Amino acid sequence: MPSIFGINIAGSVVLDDRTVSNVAAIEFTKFTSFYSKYIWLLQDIIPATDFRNAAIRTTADGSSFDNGASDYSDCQRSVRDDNSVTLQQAATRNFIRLNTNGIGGVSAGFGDEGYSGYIVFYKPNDARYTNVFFEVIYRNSFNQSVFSIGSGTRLSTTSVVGAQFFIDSGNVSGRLTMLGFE
Amino acid sequence: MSSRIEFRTNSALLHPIKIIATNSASVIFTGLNSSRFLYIVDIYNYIPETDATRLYLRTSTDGVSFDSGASDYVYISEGLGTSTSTTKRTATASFIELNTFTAGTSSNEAFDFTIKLFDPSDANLKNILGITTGRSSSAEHIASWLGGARKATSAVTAIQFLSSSGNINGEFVLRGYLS
Repeated sequence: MPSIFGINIAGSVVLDDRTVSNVAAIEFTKFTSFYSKYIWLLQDIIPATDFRNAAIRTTADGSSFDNGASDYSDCQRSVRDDNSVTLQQAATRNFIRLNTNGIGGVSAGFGDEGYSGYIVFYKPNDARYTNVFFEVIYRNSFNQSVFSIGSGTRLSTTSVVGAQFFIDSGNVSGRLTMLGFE
Repeated sequence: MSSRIEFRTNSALLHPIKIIATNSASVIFTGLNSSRFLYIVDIYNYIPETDATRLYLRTSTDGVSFDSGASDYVYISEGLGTSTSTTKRTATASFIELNTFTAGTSSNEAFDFTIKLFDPSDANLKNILGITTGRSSSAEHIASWLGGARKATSAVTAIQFLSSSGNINGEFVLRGYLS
């Protein structure tokens, strides 16, 4: 039985676990109807360049990832360590954005950057809009901590078989673990 | 008519139990007990029978009658859509309202939920946390999150999901986490 943070994750399986360095994207294409819910655990994600955004896109065929200007909606609320609050709301976007403030990258040189959290995919294999929910904590490009919570959706009823995590410009390093829940 | 299932602690410990609600008056999980310190309910593709309604949670100490007193529950929630935002704070309620934005019945309008119920057998208030994502009755993608509690110390043995009006549809999955 998988154990994450000391908690036994009943009815779940670790489907993939990757630690990458300086890659364009991390892609998982194992969504099937066997699992109802998938969770991606993001640990110590660091963009190669400073002031960037983390994002996901989905795929219906396992190879091409949807990137049309109206393919996704998203919304999120962030609170920064100086008490400022930022909302991100987009009825249409060509990806689901997973942060508000620009993420501090390797090029920022703070030395303590890192973006961690989780993304939940709800029954992506169903023929309906694919909803995701996320919570993340990270250092922004001004070396401040930011907590973001929000969600996004793929605006299509075509079954989703996979998704990619990427930075909107430049490469990414870090660890991504995918859990499947029956 | 309600859809009801008992959580049996002596079988399938590591596997969830599921209820598919099809125009059901409510969904009820019974058999909650101290063998689990955490219960999580995932709700997929929730669609109400009646447009612009909300999904409620109630608890029971006997698995038969569900608490519905005017001061039985408290909840605080916050939500954000692609063009709107909302906050709710209710110190006394006869239910815990799970979706800050109303659920709809038009094409592609559906919600997914994750609800966590912490140690329902302990001697403290019964706290829950929840998140919601999906397309609201205003055809807007939304996210919301909430905290709430059953304001009593008696052990909770069952939970019920019902709509503010009309019947409900969706897949309800309960997991119990071993103490």
